[in-house]
Amino acid sequence: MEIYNFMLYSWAGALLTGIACALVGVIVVTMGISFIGVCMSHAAFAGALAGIILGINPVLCAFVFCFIVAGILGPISDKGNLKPDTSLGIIFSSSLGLSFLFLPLIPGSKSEGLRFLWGNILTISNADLLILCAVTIVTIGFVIALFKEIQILIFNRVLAIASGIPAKSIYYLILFLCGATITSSIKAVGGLLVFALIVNPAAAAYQLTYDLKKMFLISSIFGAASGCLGLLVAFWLNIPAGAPIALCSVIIFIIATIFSPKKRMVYEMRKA
Amino acid sequence: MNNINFDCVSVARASRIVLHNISFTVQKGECVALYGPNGAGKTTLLNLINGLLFAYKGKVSIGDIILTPKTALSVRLITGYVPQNFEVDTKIPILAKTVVLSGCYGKIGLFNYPTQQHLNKTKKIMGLLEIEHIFDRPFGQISGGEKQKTLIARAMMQEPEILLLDEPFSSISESSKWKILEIIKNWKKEKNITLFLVSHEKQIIEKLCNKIFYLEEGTIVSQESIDGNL
Repeated sequence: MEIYNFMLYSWAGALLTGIACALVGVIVVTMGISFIGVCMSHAAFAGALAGIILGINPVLCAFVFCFIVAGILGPISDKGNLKPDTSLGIIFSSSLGLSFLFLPLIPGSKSEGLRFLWGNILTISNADLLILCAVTIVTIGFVIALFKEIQILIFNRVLAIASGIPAKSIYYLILFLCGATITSSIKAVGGLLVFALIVNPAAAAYQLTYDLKKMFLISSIFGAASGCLGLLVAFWLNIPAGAPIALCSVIIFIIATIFSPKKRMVYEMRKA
Repeated sequence: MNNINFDCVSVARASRIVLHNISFTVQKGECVALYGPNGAGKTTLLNLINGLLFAYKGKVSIGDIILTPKTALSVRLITGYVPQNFEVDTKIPILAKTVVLSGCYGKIGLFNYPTQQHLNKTKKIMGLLEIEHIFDRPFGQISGGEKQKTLIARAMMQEPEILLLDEPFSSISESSKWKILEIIKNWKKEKNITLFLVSHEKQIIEKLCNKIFYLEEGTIVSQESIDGNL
């Protein structure tokens, strides 16, 4: 029965992580801010390490760190004094610096800390799954409820603001949602590889459609498929699941790019 | 009702004053052209009207509303905006009809969806501007002129009381330009819209506007009224 539960948790974890990350991925990839994924995942890792050192729930601490990063990134990009990649780079290097600072401070074995870097979907608990489930439902709800606002925000942020949409608030919500998704996924796929699930399924879906609704749907399917196929490979080869999940998402992206109808259209347009 | 009033307005960007001590009043229904060399502050002035920028000195008011970050949202809902030099990724997942439809998203409000009526209106406006053939085409794949027409259609979809046009005809062919100009002129007249136009083409200005503000280095150096129009 216990083996059955652990298998069930792993599959559910892979599926939910794939879907939640892929949905957030569509927004950040189309808005051209996918590096936010790297930033957040390293902030989550630093937060988890801080939690271990302080004896607080590491996932809770990772949430707090991600929300702090989201709270800093929003105003920085609004003020426009720094280019987005510069501000992301500064926050990324700060998170990485904090991670390297915290890692040696963990008393005893570092394996618990490193677990958040590599992730292990096979050790996902009932509570982790509940958090992941809640974040996935919130993400789906966010996309459905604010679809038209997301659509125009992706198209052009200035036009979104000019047409009376509370673009700033929605942008901040996206940053927080990105932080929540990454934190809830970090235990399953790890701080390093969660970025693959954010970017690759969305980038693959981007190659296949001009319809944003379809892009969300295709990306979710690719995310879920990457999670499940990766887990299957991990069981088959008896290796940690993070790497095969990330690699499956890369393979899906390569296939989507090869068969991309957009590539043909752009080529034909240039030829004409 | 919605007179636009600038009272000693100055704007600074990146430690440089781009508009200096601007004052004017434009009555509802008037059509003003902003004319001047590049960098004179024409686009900045437009962005002050729809609250994309705020003055560091002086005040901008639209009717009874003094523009501040808190009041800007209500002004943006009644202000249509067609930006200049609009470039997007050719693969962006958005169709031309969605761009036009998005003009009314602010008015529809959060958590509400466009209805069939909105879609019918989108079709009608795109037909009027002779771009119905790009209804289902990806926005990134249409020509520069079609993009500008789509953005004009988007502004019309918003049903604004104030319309801000920033070089709206720069990529549109000569034959189309005059047709669209006529459509905007009739629409403006019918709805009594206040219009601001940034353009370097005197012919267009003379056809559409009844007032010209000449801008140079961030100040209005002179104003001129044009008779016979509107």
